[in-house]
Amino acid sequence: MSEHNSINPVSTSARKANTKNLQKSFMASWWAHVRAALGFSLKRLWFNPLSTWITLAAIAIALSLPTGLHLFLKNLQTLTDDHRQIPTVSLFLKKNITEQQAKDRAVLLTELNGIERVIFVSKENAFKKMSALIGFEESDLKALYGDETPLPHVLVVTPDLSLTGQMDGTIKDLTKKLRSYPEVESVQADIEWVKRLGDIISFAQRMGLVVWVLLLLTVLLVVGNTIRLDIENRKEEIDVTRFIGATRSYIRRPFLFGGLWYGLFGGIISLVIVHFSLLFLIPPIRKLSESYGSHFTLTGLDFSMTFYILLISSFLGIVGAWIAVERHLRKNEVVL
Amino acid sequence: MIEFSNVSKQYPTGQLALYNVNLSMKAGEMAFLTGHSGAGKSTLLKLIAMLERPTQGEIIINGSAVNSIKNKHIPPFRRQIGMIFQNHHLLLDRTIFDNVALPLKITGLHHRDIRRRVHAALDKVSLLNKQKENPMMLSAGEQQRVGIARAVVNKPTIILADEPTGNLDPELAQDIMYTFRQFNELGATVLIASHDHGLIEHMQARTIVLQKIDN
Repeated sequence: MSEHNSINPVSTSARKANTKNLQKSFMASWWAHVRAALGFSLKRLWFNPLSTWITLAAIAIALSLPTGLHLFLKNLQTLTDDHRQIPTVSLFLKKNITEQQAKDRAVLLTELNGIERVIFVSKENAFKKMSALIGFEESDLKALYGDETPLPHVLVVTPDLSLTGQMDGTIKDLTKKLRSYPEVESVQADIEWVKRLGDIISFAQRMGLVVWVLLLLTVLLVVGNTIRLDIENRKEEIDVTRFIGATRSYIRRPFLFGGLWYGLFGGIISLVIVHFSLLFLIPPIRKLSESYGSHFTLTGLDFSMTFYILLISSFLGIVGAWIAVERHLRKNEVVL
Repeated sequence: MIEFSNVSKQYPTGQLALYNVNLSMKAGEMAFLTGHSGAGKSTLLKLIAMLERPTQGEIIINGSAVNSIKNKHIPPFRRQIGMIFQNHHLLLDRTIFDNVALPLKITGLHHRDIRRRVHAALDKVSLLNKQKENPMMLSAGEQQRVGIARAVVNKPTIILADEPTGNLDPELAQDIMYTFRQFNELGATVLIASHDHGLIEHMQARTIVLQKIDN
């Protein structure tokens, strides 16, 4: 009979179709389980809204710290990457130089080879910005310093690096040349600062890694503990379902999805927190950078980072829940 | 089919619950299990449902030796057994329908079939009209009958009941017993642990007595 079957192409294909049907019905029942568990765990979250919100807040705060740090570092890095803006050379002019003299010098400098742009920052302007930044009324500051502001006029020179390529040497030569002008009190090349910033960033990145690990661990523990409490509350239900023949994966599933929801929603809330913090920070940073003639703007989270954060938080939620459920299932046999 | 040969069970606490039990039930048989409280009735039922494992001896259920069943094969094994407890162990956060549907949901049946079979099971225990209610709203006898419906909805070959009438007045108890008899007549092997001698005599079925052991 079986020989006949294997020869006859019709019944072979019929058998194939049969296995396919079996697989199909297995997939269908699996999918029905998954869907039921997804819905059930989602509904379950709102049985105890207060504790759910507290858990979500804890996860969101834990996630928003490393995310914020990541953004901070990324923005710092754009400062060093952007060769058109940075490095710049700041010329602090002597105190007796008038605004007109400074402006004339700026025009002359612009015509020099190897200089892309010169921006003039008047002392009054800088003073206004400074008083706004430190939160004093301008008049109060004036009362403190007298009519004469303590700040000098500044020329911010942007060298044209595309012509020369080599950054180090060019800047050094340029600095020497600029220092020789009679109006100039002192020259500050940002090259040192750029190098130092690079060092700071690599240090901060390492620190960021530590913060990431610690706070992701926090998320894992928060979700694990919440699911553990949930399991304690539903011990009877777990025992009954186990007793009537539920497999481990059936029992585990709603809790894993619970963990998934915690992670996902916590991640979304953390993104909202980071986004609003960013909105809060943008105006003062724009002001600060404008006063130095820079077009630096804060960059927010891009799509891929948003995706990764949600992926990581959901994954951690599932892992935390998995640990909690496995611990319970391993420790307790059914007791009725 | 249920077979015990030289089965003993000692709990980790040192308590010897069963000693040297030999027992044989044919498929489709109905029997009562009696004995003083503490004689090991519950333990014996738990051994059949694999809620406990024997410390000694061999148990064969429906042709498979319980000792050789691995942990991961316990869930499908348990699906062929329906068990009823004195404390009904219903889930109070769900309706009667959902409670009875639980064993079918675990096996991944389609809703349509689940609905059909849950209705059939509830109909057999005359509770079809209460399917949307919460277990808390039901009387003790009704709760016990929901427990029975849940135990039989899966069409198990073996039905075990541990003091199913313990909390019920005689009339309700008798009702419950007749329900068990009906399932037995449909082909299930039924083993009921009870110490209600009057009721057992009235039912006229095989009676297995566990002697209390002194240790």
